[in-house]
Amino acid sequence: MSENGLGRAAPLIYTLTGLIVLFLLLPLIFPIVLSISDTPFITFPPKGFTLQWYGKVLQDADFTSSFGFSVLLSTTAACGAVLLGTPTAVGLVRLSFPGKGFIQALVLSPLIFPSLVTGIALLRLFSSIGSNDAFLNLWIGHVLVTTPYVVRTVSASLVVVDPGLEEAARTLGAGRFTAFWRITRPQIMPGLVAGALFAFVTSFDNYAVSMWLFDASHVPLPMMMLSLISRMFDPGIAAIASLMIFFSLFMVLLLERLAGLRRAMSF
Amino acid sequence: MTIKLTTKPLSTPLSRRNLLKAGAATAAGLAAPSFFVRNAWAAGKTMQIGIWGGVQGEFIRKQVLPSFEKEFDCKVDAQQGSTLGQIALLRAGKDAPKFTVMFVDDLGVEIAKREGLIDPLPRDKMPNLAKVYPRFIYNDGYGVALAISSAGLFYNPQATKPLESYAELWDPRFARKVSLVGTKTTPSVFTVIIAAAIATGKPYKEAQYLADQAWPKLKELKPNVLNLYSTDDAPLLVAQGQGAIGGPEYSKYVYPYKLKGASIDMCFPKEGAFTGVNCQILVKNAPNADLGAEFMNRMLDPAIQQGLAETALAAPAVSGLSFKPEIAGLLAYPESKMDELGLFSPDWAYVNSVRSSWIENLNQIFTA
Amino acid sequence: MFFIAVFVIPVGLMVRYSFLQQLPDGTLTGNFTLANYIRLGAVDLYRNVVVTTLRISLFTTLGAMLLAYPLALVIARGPAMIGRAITVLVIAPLLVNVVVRAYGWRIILGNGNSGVLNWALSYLGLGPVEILYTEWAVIIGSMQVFLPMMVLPLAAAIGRIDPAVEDAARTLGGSSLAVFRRVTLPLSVPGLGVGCTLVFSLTASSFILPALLGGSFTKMLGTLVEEQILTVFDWPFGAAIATAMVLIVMAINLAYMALIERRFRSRAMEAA
Repeated sequence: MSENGLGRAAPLIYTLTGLIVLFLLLPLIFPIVLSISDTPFITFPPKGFTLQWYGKVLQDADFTSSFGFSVLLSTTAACGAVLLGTPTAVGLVRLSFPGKGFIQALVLSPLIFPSLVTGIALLRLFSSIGSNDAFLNLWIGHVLVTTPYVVRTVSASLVVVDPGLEEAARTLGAGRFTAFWRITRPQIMPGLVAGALFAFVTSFDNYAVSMWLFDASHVPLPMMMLSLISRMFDPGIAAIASLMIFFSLFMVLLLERLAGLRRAMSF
Repeated sequence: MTIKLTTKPLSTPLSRRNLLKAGAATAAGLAAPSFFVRNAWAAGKTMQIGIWGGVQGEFIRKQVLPSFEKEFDCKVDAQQGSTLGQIALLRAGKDAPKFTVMFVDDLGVEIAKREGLIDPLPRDKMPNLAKVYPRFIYNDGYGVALAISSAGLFYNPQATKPLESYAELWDPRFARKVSLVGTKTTPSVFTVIIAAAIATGKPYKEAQYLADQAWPKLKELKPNVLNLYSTDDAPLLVAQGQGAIGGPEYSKYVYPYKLKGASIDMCFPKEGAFTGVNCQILVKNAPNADLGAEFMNRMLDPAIQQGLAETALAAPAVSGLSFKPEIAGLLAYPESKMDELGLFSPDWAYVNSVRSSWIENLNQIFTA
Repeated sequence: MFFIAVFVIPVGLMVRYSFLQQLPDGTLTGNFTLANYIRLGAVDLYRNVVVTTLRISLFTTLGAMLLAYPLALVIARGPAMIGRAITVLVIAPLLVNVVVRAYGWRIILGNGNSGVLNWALSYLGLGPVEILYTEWAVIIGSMQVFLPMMVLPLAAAIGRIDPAVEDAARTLGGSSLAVFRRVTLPLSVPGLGVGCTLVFSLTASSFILPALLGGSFTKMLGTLVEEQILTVFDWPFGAAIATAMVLIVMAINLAYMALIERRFRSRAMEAA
């Protein structure tokens, strides 16, 4: 095996990678640059230096409480999506039954389905069955729109898993669940982690479903951001954006530290 | 509504009115502190209302709700949203209403009444309605104004002089300099009426029914249009030099930038200014309707009206208030000044019925 | 498999809506009608929007594909430290709100001197470019927003390829490009399939990016759905647009996945 696994094209690939990463980070850099501007509005190029906007934002109780709520909602929704999505993916890949292709397409449809529409459908459903618990409603809605990501990524990693191994384990006396847990789960771990991550991210960023299901004491972050944008004219809004960026960097680094993101995805 | 409310025994002093309340099974609370006896019927209740976002919403949440909640020993959950979003929520929850009071714009009152989503305002329980200028009670008493904004054009004084007439928008000097309001918000309706008025030379009142003549005129405007904006910070972009002029837009979205020193101002060309009226409505079969009536009455209290007007730079709906000169200059107030500005409100029953096709036409013209 | 029920209910409700008609008082009639679909086909505006949506989604997907390979290769094959750093940098933007990222792009692409790009270009003595409020702005924005969705599955797929196969091909004298084309590319197809469906579908149904970056000149299906539902209140018509959009996007996803797989599977056979 060659030293870096990339072959002779390595320098070219690294250069490209650098440029592309720059492209990815570009729109994240500027909010940070603007957030320290000592001007009453967002202006480019920024003038002066101040951290007052951060102080202002961090003291805004609306922002901090909805931030906490969003973290809670997205974490639980991602868990729900994994619990729901994994068996679905196993069923879809392993079993063969009539109309499988159709079901497969159906499960993935919320992915393309404008969640605005899903949101209304859910609101009408909840309102007709009298479900008024905003957190529960939001949770169900978020699980619904995030599960397809888990199904998709887990299916992809299941395709390359040899079902023979699990069968072999069962022949050797392992129960159905044990066989899955000990044999298949480690192999689909990358798919699971990626799916859970996508689910968290999608839920954390979801606006279209939340806007129908939230209430005054359960305001997810994207809703709050939109309301802040319309009442905050100063670089405070850039400070919020920057805080989100720092938070996501911190989360990802933490995940990397704890679980070893790259290893978890078995790259 | 939490369970504890319906299981509370009725042990507070009961007036005749409270007995009626008790009959309605949303009973008074045991836990009500005795010094609030006057309002004990509302104690412990939770009311859901829908209010606006932005500075107005902020004012209501920070300045109106806390004292109201304290006085009635109740809790008010105020959900922020836009007119059409709020109506959509009412619609989706029509079978089991969750909200008591909704804040919507005047066009929303018409839609909500037509769709059977609201009840008439309870006049006998809202004494402050007497202070409201009669012109601001809408649709036979189904909605009442809280704040009146006027819509015109916003412009960057470094880039252009204020316009005398909307016809100047078609001038070649504005090539790719006009930031036009997007189809998502109400002022896009004004765009159509303006174009019809310019094309036909008729006043808005007649032009609003002549939209067919607006389309070719709007096609001619296309080379001047930089973008169709859909965010509240559009005036700020014009202030920074992305375009020279924009709108039509409500003053309440523009003046806050001006007061903070941005290079932006508004002009109201001679054809006349449009009104954007923020109203409140009572949801049909609403839970806690009585508490809702108290709240709506509170919103019309002169002190609250004064504060709301100064925060949002939109005229109040009640008579007899006076403002500091620098604020008064930005408000279409009192009534005589509204007439001076020629404030115009479209025939919403008609406009709402054709809005879908207007939007389709606007899209066809402006989508490349 | 009873989980399926959870998906079927909202989707089913939606499809049913699309066949209803709305009366002026906002109630829906129970009568089955195709009127919404007929309107969709009859007005040229909607055909144009479909074409625009597909064009933008296609360019975004192709662009993301090109940009994703180098990143995925480094993540999967590069030295551990670099791979980890790149993974973190690719995932981090995902957690940032789309509205925030769109704002970022608006600052960069802004027309006139307030845009960062034009400000930089003017230093280099180059003329200003007008990107904001065009289709290109939407494509650039979508590419940045959805790129991680392509990189991650792709990296996972490449990670599963046994490096020995690539080494063997290299030992046999294949150039880097040839090895990539004949071994890595075909074997990464499962990941590519996932990435393409995600990016294509998400681009086609997004409505925030076209609104903020396209300046509403660029209407996409997602924008139209939003408009019908939130502004015009014609929910049945909104549902019809949504349903049509889902069908179109699904059909295209299935078609090109079949295409990619057939094309590269045969190559992989050859290579093996």
